[in-house]
Amino acid sequence: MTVADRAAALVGRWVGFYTRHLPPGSAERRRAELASDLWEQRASGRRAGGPAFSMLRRMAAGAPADLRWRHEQLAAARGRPLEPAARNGWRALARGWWLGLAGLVALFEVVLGVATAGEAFPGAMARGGMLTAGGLLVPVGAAVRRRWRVVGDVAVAAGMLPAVPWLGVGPAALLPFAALTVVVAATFDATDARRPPAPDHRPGDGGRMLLGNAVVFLAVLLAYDLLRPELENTGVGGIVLILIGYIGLRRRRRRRST
Amino acid sequence: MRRKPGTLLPLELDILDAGLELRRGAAPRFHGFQLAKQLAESPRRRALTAHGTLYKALQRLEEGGLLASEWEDPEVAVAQGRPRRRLYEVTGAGERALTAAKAGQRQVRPRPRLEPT
Repeated sequence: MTVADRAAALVGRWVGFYTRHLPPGSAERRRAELASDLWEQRASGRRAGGPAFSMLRRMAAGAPADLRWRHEQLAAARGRPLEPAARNGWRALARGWWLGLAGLVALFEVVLGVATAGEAFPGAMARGGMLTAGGLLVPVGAAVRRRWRVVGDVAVAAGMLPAVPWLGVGPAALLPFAALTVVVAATFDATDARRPPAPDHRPGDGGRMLLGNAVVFLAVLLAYDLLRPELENTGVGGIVLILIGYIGLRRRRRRRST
Repeated sequence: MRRKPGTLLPLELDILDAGLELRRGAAPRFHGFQLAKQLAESPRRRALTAHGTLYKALQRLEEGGLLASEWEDPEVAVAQGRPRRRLYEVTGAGERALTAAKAGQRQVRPRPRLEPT
């Protein structure tokens, strides 16, 4: 097998990858056109000397366009209007921000769990084990929710519960507050999944609602800590978050009234 | 950044230009790699256009009615021992769009002159 053969085979595998699960007509046409292009380039290259690097460069340089094309084909097949990439990214963030927060909390749970399990006080092993198990449940829930959204949401929420009893323990109080935020968000997401969308439902609306509600919830909890002297440093953060949550909810209410 | 509906990207204008150039050179229809080679020979471009960029642009132009395409006769491809080609040609609408785009580029807005007072 020559270098050009290998390069063409690699490009062919890339084409097969980004055309997988696409409507047969689009996928077949793209694969056939690329097969022809590669053959023509190799035929041209045999005269000019070595097309392998050029083929790979064309593949790499065109990969973002290939992925955008794939996205367009999938959207067309599902009958969804294609959203601009930037807006689509913000909507994805609005829908999934709480999963990122859950990931951070899970990471802390695993680290704290391993550290706690090594302590000498009674029940350390059990408490450490629960924390670690909760942290490990989160990625499982995130993976499962791609197929079974409600089950995955419940798993992620359950994974947060071991962090909640740490409420009020010094600066680490942010951890249980974040965990509670994820529990609220996961609950809303699960109920949203069970409910059929309203006729005027727009993708991302649910996410913005969750953001507003969760920020207010978190802000209220943090503001409560203003009453506790050992948590003075969270008071300012609580006030800021109350303002952010209020602004978020006002925008949501204004958007829904238009 | 979103493009305005109906506007053509520089690559798409180059594709139409190269397609008409190929037609003038007795190749009324062209395939993707042939077009990429033509584009590479133009003064503005130095390398063969990337696969994803090229074929996405071709599809967009075809959906806009500026190009038309069809598969070549499979027997021709079999006889020559190669995969069959998708052959494109620039439509009348494509010619008009290119002419309009070039005319728009040639129009230069007069700069305000600062007259001494």
